[in-house]
Amino acid sequence: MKTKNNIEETIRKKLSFTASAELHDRMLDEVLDTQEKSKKTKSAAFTPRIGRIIMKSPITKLAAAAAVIIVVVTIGVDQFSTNGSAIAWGNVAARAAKVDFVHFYELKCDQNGLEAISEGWHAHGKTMKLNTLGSTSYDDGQIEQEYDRHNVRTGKGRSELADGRTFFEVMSKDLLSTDNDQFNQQKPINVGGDFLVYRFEPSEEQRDWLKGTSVTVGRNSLLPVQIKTYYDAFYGKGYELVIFDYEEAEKPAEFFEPPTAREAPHGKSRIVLDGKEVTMEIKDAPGIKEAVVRLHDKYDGPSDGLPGYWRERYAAEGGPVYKLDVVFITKEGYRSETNDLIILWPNEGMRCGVGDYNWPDGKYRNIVFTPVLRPTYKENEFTVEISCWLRTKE
Amino acid sequence: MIEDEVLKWKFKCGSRDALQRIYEKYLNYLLTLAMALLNDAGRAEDVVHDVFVSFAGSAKVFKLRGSLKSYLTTCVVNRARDRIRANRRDPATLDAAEAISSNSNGPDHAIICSEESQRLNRAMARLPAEQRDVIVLRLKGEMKFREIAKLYGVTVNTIQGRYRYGLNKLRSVLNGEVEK
Repeated sequence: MKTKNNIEETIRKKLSFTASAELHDRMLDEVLDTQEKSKKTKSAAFTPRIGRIIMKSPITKLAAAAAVIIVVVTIGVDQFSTNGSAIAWGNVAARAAKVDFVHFYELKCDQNGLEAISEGWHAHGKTMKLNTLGSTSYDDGQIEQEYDRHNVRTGKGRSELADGRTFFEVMSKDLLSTDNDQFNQQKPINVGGDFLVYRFEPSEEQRDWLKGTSVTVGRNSLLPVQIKTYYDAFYGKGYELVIFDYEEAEKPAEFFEPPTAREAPHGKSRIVLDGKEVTMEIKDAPGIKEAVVRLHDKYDGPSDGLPGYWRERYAAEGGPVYKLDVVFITKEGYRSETNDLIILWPNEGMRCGVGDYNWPDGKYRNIVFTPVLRPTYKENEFTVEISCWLRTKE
Repeated sequence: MIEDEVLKWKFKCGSRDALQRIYEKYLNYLLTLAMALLNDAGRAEDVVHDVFVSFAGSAKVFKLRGSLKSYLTTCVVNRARDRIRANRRDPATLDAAEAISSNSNGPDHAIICSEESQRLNRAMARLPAEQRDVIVLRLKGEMKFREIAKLYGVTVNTIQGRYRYGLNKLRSVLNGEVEK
């Protein structure tokens, strides 16, 4: 404990508190119960009563006033009048429900400035998004699928549109819903020559991170032009902005189909279902030299036999699935340690990660990787492909 | 093992398993953070409970681009700060040894810790709150100085100064303990 570094390391590693089994179980029951209840209720967000409570705070009043000023500057409206102030929110929601095609951008603004998140297109119930980091997502209205920049599928789940919600309902967190009686009579807080601005306050449950939402609407078209969500999260105060563009020509149907082609993985090898180690060379992934893969087991039994995380999807899609683990060897010769077996469906990638500070030199390294298992003509033989990237804090 | 991005995505889709996994993954980390900030087992438990319950009810509107861990960390920090403000007292003025030991010894108690953790938390509790917060967020929360500065509305230099002074004081407190 004589040096600064020793103290830092001691706090990092030794200062630790653990929940008792009783506390763990009691709190978990409440948390899961809350989730179940929230699924059964239509979003009770943006409760005006709560909004009024929030507005009693002088700090919030100031923030809200500042937010309104930002909106005004952004859209360039300098003359407000009372004309048009009677247009209720329900008219906007009804108009939005009829939109067949829209092009949109998602952006984020925080202390680091404005950053583009994604560009997307929605047409006739299908949505395609191109994220700035290179990944893509495809939503056909029933299933949403995500692909990494190598076009390996990394996620699959039920679409938010699957239960009958419209695109604008999802994008606006249910604000743009014709069923939303709570807000349908709400009037704009500002009326300009070309735009109407509506403002909604967060519910108590959202206050940890959400500070309010402003929706700017074309005065004549009644179409949403932008949705601006103010937050106060870990990266500080800021806002997320979705801008809607109705001018771009409609994309063809095939544009919304998921990719089938993919780039070469960083490592590839034949593997047998026998639990024995297979070492593969990793190419073009800086910092990573080799990967050692073991294919342990095939599983096609009841879903209860799988770890909790995988159970839901297995119950829905069925098997078989395969269990494998992967160890990475860095250029320095360090071996990563994996804690869990990875469950893979054939021909499907699964985004995983290992590392953190768990290396002999104590430096931070995180290896993000996507293994894919491809069947061969032999029942117990496969080709395993790995795409991987090493990230450090240096 | 599985990246938080997948967990966030599944949680947003309403997955019970994803929520349970997030809970299992971060419960003890958040308890440690809350204990270090509040130095009171009861209040730490309340804060972590409130954060998870609020999080569990937010799936429909949950839209987080950044790190899940950082998000939960900030929730705990904000709620801990609210508690401190509400109570109008500095948790460091509590008798740290009593506050921890009264809640951590024996199987019936909610939060369990090692003797080493107790010793460290006792020493941390003797730091000024502003120095302790920075050390906790930096070393346990893995937040950048820039992020901590933003959270507290001060400059990065101020935060770095608090961190440096805090570590120096902590060193002397721990060395003093050893000498006794």
